[in-house]
Amino acid sequence: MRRQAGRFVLLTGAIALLVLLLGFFQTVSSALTSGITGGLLNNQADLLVYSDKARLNPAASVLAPDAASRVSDVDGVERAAGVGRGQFADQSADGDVTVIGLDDLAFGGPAKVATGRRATKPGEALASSPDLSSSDVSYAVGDTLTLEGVDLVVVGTSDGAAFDVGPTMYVSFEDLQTMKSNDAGVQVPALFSWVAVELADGVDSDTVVAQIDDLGVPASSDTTTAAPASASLASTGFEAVDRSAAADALPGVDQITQSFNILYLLLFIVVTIVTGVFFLILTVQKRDSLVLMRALGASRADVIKPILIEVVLVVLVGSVLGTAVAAGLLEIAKDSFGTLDPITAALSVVLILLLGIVSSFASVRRVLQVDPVEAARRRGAS
Amino acid sequence: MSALDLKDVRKVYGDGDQKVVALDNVSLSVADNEMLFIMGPSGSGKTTLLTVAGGLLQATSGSVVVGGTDISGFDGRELAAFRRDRIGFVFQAVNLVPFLTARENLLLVRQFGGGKIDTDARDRADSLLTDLGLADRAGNLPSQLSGGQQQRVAIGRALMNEPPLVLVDEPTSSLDSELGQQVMELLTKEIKSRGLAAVVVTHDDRILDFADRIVQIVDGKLTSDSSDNSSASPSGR
Repeated sequence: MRRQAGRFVLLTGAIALLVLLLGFFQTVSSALTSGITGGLLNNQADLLVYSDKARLNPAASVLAPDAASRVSDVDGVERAAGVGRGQFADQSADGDVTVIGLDDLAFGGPAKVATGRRATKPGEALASSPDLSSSDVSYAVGDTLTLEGVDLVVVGTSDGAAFDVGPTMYVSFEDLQTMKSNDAGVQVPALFSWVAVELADGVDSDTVVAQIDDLGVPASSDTTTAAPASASLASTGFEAVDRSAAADALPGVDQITQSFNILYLLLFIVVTIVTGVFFLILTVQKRDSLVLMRALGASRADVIKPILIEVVLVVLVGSVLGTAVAAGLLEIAKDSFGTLDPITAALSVVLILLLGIVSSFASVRRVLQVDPVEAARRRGAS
Repeated sequence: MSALDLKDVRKVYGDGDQKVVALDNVSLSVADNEMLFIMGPSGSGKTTLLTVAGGLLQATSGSVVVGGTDISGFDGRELAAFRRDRIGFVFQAVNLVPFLTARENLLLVRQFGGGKIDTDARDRADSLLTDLGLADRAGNLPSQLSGGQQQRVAIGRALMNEPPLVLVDEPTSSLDSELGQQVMELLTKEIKSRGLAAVVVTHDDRILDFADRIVQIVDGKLTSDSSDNSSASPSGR
């Protein structure tokens, strides 16, 4: 064993490095997707209702002002509020800011506030906390900014509340309308992008979603007098989804997730191959010893058990070591990358452990093929 | 009760035109405390006889009884347990696990079948190594031992589980005359002092003095049985 210790240390180190890489990938992936989906995933709403023509894209969804009241009439809906969305340049910070306008400042924004408080009146904003996606432009409580002539003061921050991989401000719908009108140079109609819905306790989400989807196109729109052209855009049916489905449907999320999934898959394959080949080589090298042990009375279990124990130990130590180092490094650089999710890390360790055991099957198969009589047939010095 | 009883044992390899009869109706009995030498030319069936007697191979027909236990119908698992508990092997070639020390090679056979290495096992290994003159080499790897020392470790390992029957294949084939004599003296002393039976396969005429009885095998058949080995030397007794 002592001669093989160096080889085991090398394999453990290799697995630790691969797991370290995996931990970084998972954290960076999570930070990137959080920059796109965080605003929806961590929202107060149970359901989000879009125009049925928008294909679940908030940027393409346009809803009439009466949408929130129509949705709130559905059985099982506790509360519904219209939400608008826009993107404007912050000239002083030289960056774009996504603005989410809340018709009801108490509902439709992030579920949790990290520092400060929510906006309670026009001129106030709740900002998304800085993360990997917005490290160049970030806002803290007390900061002020002007977007399209609207002065805002940041009164609070919320973690994982960003949209569009950038800083996001949750403001009043009134402020958002002012920004849009100033940007367009004319008064624009007050149209929502989506309706945030809170379900009543104990109701079945799917039933409410079906009821909202069945509301259909209204016979007439209240917006016809204010802005006839826009009213036709807003005269659509509804498509309701829960937060998770809404986040998954956001443009770009699928591509990022798929890209990182390919990287994860490659890493898992590499771990499996490296472990499998290592133990196969070790088994081939130890073949004479295995033959001898079988001849001396070792059962199949006697010779297979040590291999499985070695695989489990090496892979477990390697993956725990890699995870620990990744967690330590990410803790140091958490402002840039975020921190390692312990559940994801634990699942990765378990998966790598299972793959390690699977990878040892080739070695076990070799061991099972050993015929103890070979010990007596071989000739020459030991 | 004999240590080993073979009755009408046949071992046939292959079939049809490829059929080779390695053992042809061999009947043989080895008494307790007896050292039986089997001699014969290459390919005569010596090693096959040893492997059948030791449960490494199943006979095609006939019965193999070791210490009163008929192993003819044993399956692989039963044969492994039988070899572990009832047989001590000293092979010609692959004999020691290269990454284990001399002491660990002795202790190895105690771990099979879920066995534990307790104080008794450690004491026995140390005692055997001392008897074999290897007390100061207990921590050495096989590669750090001479050929003679390696054979002595293999003898110690064969005796570790106190088997009633020890099977030895060409114990001196890789040793010079002097070393061969030393190893055989040691083997005989350990076997005799413990009252064990041993079957030694060899074609080395120089060590025949150590035999209680010599049988010849040619083409898988026992051709002669010298129950009175008049040339046995005192050191062989």
